[in-house]
Parts: sequence; C-alpha cells; structure tokens
Amino acid sequence: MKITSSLCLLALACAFGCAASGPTPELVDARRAYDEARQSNAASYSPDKLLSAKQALDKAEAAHADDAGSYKEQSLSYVAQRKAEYASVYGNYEKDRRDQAEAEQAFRAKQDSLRRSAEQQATDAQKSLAATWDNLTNARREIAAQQSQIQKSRAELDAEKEARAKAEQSAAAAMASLSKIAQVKEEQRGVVITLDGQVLFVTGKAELLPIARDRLNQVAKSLKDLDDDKLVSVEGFTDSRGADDMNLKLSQDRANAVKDYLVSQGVKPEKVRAVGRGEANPVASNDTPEGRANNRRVEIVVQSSAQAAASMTGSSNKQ
Amino acid sequence: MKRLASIISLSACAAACGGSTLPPANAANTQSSISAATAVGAEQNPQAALHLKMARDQLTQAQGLIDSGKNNEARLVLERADADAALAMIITREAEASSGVKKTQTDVNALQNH
Repeated sequence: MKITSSLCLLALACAFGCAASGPTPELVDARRAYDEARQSNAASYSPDKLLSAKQALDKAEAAHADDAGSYKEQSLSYVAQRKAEYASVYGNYEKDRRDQAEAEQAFRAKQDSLRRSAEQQATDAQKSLAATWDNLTNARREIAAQQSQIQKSRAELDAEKEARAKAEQSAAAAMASLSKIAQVKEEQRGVVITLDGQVLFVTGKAELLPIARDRLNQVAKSLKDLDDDKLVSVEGFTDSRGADDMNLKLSQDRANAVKDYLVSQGVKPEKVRAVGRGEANPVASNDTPEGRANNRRVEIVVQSSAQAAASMTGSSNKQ
Repeated sequence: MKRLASIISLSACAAACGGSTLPPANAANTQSSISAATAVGAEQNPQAALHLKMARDQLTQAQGLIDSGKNNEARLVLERADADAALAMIITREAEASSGVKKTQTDVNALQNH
C-alpha cells in the first residue's frame, strides 16, 4: 500500500494542467488493488463491498477518460484503492466471524459430549458399584450359610464320634466282663474267646445247653458293637477220641449252632463264619482227662479282615 | 436591510466562486468516522493507525479548503479521508476477530485433547 502523503502538493501541481496520457500511478494502484480484492475473501464473504469498490474504480476510470492525469483522477483513484482494500479486509472479517461461530459451536458440542460421557461414566460406575455391592451381600449370605452348614456337620461329626466312643466303651466293657465267663486272649490271629465245650453242649451232641445261652448272650452283646471292619470266626474243636471225620462233623455242627445262636441275638450273620476244626490244634495233651476236656472247646475269634485272610489256610468245612 | 442584502450576495458569490451545484462537503461525518475508528482502538494497530493519521490530515486539509470556499476540492479530500477512516476501522476489527478465532480454536483443541 502506497503512502500518498504528498498528494496535496501533487494536487496543486496538477491543478495547473499537467497532461498525462497514461494512467496515473494512483489509478494503476487502484486497478491492482481491485484485482487483488476480486481474488480475496471479498468475493465470497463481502460481495457488496466488492461492488462498491468496483463502482469507485469506475468513477476513477471515468475521470481518467474525461481528463487524464487530473487531480480528480488521482483523488478518485486513491479512494478506489482504499475501497478495494476495504473490501478485501472486510472479506477476511466476515470469514473470521463465520470461523468464530463454527469454532464456538464445535466447542459447545465437544463440551456437551464430554459432559455426557462423564455423566455416563458416573452412571456406569454407580451401576457397577451397586452390582458389586449386591455380589458382596450375596457372597456374605453364602458364607454365612456355609458356615452354619459346617457347624452342623461338625456337630453331626461330634455326635458320631461320641456314639462310636460309647459303642467302643460298651464293647470293651462287655469284653471285660466276658473274661469272667470265658478265657479272652489276644493272639496274632485276633482276640480269641474260648468257651469250654462242657458248658455249651450236651455231651457228644451239637445241642446247646440252656446255661450256654447266658454266656452266649454276653458274647453276643460284645460282638454286636464291634467295628465294621471286624469279622468273627466261630471255630469248633474236639479231643482226639473217636474217628476224625466224626469229630470234624461234630465240631462243624457245634460251630454252626453257636453261630446261629449269636445271629439270633443280633450279631450280623455276614460277619460271622462257622468252622469245624475237628481234632486239629489241641491246646492240651489228649492223654489226660483234663487235657481232653480242655481240647473240647469253641473258639470265637474276633479278627480284622487281614487276620481273617491269613487264618483261612488249610481248613476244611466252612460256613 | 442593505447590510443583509450584501451578506446574501456575498454568500451567493462564495457559492458561485466554489463552482459547484452540489451540497456543501460534510466534514462532521468524516469526523465521526475518525472518532469511531479511534474508539475501537485503531491507534493501537500499526496499519490502522497509519490510515487514521492520513484521515486526520486530510480532514484538516479539507476544513481549510472549506474555509477558503473551495467546496469541490474539499469534497474530494473528504472522500479520501472517509475512505482512510473506514479502512482504519475495518483493519482494527478484522485483527480483533482474527485473534478471537485463534483463541477459540485453541480452546476447542484443548477440549479435544482432553
């Protein structure tokens, strides 16, 4: 943009008739300024100002045509140039205003979006918290239920233990009182209760005497409360007098009789086996009457399954 | 009466010697434009201040011409003064608007990078 501070002097000088055929510098500047304005934002944003600039340029051109080089041409060109510059700047101004409005809208939109997002996050967090709280409450409830279940089971277990202890106690007591009526001895094959044949059976028969029942009742009592893993082997023995096969049969019949009686008194049949041993395993000499009497016996062996398996070797008639 | 007649004839002569049939140049409007540009802060903008000064100088020149009765010339000068005053005004406003846009865009970017 040219600074025309000397225009006043020029005006006076040219008033006395300087004749220039070409356009004055001012007109040239004005034309250029208008061309620039046409390519500026004025075209889109301030067309009315651009039109005004054109009109001013036209007036300057007219003055040039009328009186080339005149002061009037110069002055009007000056004005035309300023108006063209004005149009350009005004175009930028209008564009700025539009850009400003758009930027403000974008700002508000982003603000809204951020706010909504934050609100959503808060809502989600609240929901999540509520859900977690519910889970916590449920978990607590479950734990309480499980704990009461555990307590119940413990109580049941304790009761069971007590019952078992009581049963063992009474079995031990029964076994202890058994030793009053029978010989009770712990051997490798198990606990052996030996009952004299004389107090059990009619001589030479497998028929139980009435007095035998009392003893056998007591035996039954101590056998009933045995642990589940215990087995009972009722074994009949004779002395060596008489035929082997007869003795074998007698001892088997006697073992059966004792077994049947014990079962009738509540001992579980599947836990008891009756075995006839005949003349085998004498505990005393068969040469004396006392010895022979001792050999005529019934042994009730309380054994574990391992002991039972070990003692199963080499025996005949079993039930 | 005679005095009044001479005053009237003097005024008519002054108008005739100015050589124009157009209304007298309006220096007051030009002054308003210059004041308005000053009010929006044209003095603080280097480019606007330049045009503001030119407007003021030309206004002064025009007033002198009016006092001398050279109304036609005065009008031409006042037109230039008006054009400079208007340009000073729009330059100032555009600068303000432009920096305003930059600031708002910076704010938007700040939010977008949140």
